[in-house]
Amino acid sequence: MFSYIVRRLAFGLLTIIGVSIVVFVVMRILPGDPLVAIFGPDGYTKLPEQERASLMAQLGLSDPLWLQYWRWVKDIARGDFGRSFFRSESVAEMILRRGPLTAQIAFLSVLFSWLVGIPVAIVSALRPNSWADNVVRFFSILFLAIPGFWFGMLMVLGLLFTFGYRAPLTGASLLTDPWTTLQIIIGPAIVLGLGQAAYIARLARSSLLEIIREDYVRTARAKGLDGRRVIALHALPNALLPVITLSGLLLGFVLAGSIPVERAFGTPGLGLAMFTAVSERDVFVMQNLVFLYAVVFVVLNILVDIIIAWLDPRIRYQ
Amino acid sequence: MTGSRKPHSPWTRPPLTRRDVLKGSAAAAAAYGLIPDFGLAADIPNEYDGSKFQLAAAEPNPKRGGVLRYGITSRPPHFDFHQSGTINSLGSQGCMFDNLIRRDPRDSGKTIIPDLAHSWTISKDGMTYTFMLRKGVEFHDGAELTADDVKATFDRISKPPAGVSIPRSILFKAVSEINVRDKYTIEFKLSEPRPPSYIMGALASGWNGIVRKKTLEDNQYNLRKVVDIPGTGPFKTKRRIEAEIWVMERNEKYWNKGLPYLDGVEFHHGLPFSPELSSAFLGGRTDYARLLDPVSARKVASTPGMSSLNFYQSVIQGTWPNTKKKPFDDPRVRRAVHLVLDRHVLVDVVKDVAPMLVGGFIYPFSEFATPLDQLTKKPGYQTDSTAAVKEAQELMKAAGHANGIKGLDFLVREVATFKLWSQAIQAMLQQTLNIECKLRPVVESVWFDDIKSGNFDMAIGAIVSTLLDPSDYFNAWYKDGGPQNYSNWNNPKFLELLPKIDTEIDAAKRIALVREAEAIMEADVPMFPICWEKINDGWYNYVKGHNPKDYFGIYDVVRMDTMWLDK
Repeated sequence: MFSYIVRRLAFGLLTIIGVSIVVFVVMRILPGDPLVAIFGPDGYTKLPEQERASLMAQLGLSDPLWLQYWRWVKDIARGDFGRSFFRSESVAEMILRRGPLTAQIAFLSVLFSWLVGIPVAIVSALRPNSWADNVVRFFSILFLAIPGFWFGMLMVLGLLFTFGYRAPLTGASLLTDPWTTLQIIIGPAIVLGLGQAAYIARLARSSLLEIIREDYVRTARAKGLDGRRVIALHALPNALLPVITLSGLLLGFVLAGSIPVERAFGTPGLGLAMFTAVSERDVFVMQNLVFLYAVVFVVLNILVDIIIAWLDPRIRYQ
Repeated sequence: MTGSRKPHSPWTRPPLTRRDVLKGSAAAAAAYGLIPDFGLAADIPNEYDGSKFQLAAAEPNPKRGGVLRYGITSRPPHFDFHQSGTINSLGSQGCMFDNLIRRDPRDSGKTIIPDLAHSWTISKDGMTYTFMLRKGVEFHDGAELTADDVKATFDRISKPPAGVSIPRSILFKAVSEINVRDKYTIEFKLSEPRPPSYIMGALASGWNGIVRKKTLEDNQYNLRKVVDIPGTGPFKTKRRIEAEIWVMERNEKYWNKGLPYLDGVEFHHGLPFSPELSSAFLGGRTDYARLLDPVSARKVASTPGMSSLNFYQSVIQGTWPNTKKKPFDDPRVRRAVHLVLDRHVLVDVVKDVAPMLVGGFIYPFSEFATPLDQLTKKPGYQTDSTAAVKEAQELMKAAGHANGIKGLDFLVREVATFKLWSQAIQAMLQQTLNIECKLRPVVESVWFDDIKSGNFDMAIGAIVSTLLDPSDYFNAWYKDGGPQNYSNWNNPKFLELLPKIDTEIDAAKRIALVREAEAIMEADVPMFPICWEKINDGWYNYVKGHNPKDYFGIYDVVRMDTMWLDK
């Protein structure tokens, strides 16, 4: 198991290095002048050429690319994620402030996806092609097809025009103000969770359909166990292995999905920060957030691999 | 409750109209106060003693207390609002500062009234402006305001030191000296004449808040990273969360007795025309919303207990031809394209995205422009474009493009209005002149990059001015080498005329010169005006003490000192 973990970590590290190079190069070859964001269109047009060159040098954007990359890697190694070059807070401060909200949305959405997806999958697998199965499959395809941001906007508008309700505007801490936090995160979590629940339901259904035809399930039934116990104790644990893998991946995708969904809800999380950074061409914020997302994704994958290996001895003995 | 309104003073709405003044009562106007219109020399009295002036809300019994929740775009790129050009800065920071003189919030900013300077004199030759400052005014850090602070502020604005770039420095190009006469008297000397309305308008701009000399010195004259710049304004910073909220609290030591009425203001960030801004307002999370989209504004207007209106903004929306490249190096082609743009349709195309107004090269609501009823009879501005299209087709034929033009690169900023307009313009040019354009949507930073390098044939965007006065934007937008002359237009006749417009003091003669410039631009087109922006505000009816009806832009009335909550 130890060598398995070391192997996974080594692959993870290589992936992160590769991602850092790709992220850095892409950010630098993107066209556009970041000084427009700093000075605004009006100020930018009135900026003398000499001033412009001096400011680019101050930002370190005039140095050779390899030097810029090396500095960035060193900063990250020191835990310094740099500064937005036209915001007052550092990227690390922004991540610490906004990250918890996005993490809460991500975990709540995964929880929500299990709470919805698994029961749905069981119903669907135990009664294949019944009306219940058809309804469930219809909705799972529907929620797979609906873009999260659109569903989010509908939810915002529906609540607004039906109940005159709008979630609080400013971020809060779960510890100091759980009610406000819940109001902020529940909408995005439902939207993201329903999309994931559809994936979970479809995968768990097919997995369960396969498992319940296995010999050991038939044996359990033959021994006289009641159907619920057979499903709960014998079939479901094995059927859930691919679902765990998928949930780990989906947790990573939730981070990416949170960008348009947080935008739709106006949620002050990392997703909205990423959206803003892209629209403002805030290179350092974009670069560090994309890198952070990539690291989180890789770490989640490694964790899932380890959990699966722990749950399924066949993997760690390979 | 404090701050009950004082009896009528010369500084409240003047009893005279501009027509009275133009009939020959300029002297009386100087004695009574200022005239509620922009732009004319007669508007500004040469001497004014406002030593007893104190501002109060226009309503008779304003209530004290409460916190106003204000929805506005509020993610300043930095905190040096002098160096900024965006409402993201001034919209929330404006209430922390006072000006030397200011625009009256009660009459929609039409009148210039005292602020930190209670009185002023303008010399007979119009070359020296002297301001008398209030005594005992304190900055938020407890220091007393003196003429040195005013000098330091305007020295930096008019002649920014290295490393500092202030978009409005050009307004003070004619200011040659700023002298401290004594602790409470400051003097501005001009090197060449300017209309008093221009100089006073520039000083009264909301952008020109007074900061401490020591604050500037302590920060090497660059306040970009100073979140809490001490001002003398009615509110001071209490708490701020980046791109979310900026909470201001009442300045208990504010010099204007009774003001502000509010205990505080919360600026909630919401992008212009965005669903976040409107949903926050409609959902009752904010009391006031600036820059609402038209659909939400209509909803607000039809909802009991809420109000909405739109007012003029200091922005022109336009398309710039690249005059350094074919085919737009030929004035006939530019004139032809100018003629076939159906501006009424273009206003209609974006009616659910942003409110707009038909106009030409000059603010259509200013007295410098050809009046709208006359303008809309001219080719290019008529509702029936048949004659204009015919003239345009003849011009294209004369320019050797009878069969049209193919493959023009049309640079489009990634903004909803520009995307809609570019498609409409593409269709108009194709249908009327057989001109084919390829739309190239790009983000803002790329747009400016390509503009700078001349990598475009046509480019659609928007530009802003500080003043309604043409001397401000003519120099920036149309002058050869002007920072926003994106088409690199260069017309010798216009360049000859421009200094005359800048220095002409006589209002009637100046208008005539501006109309002459307008005629030059109609013939040799510097850009294709699409239309002029308007702004939608919405508020709950309990929000009082504001009057956005006739604002010129959103940059001059940003103090919130007269606002109050009737609940």
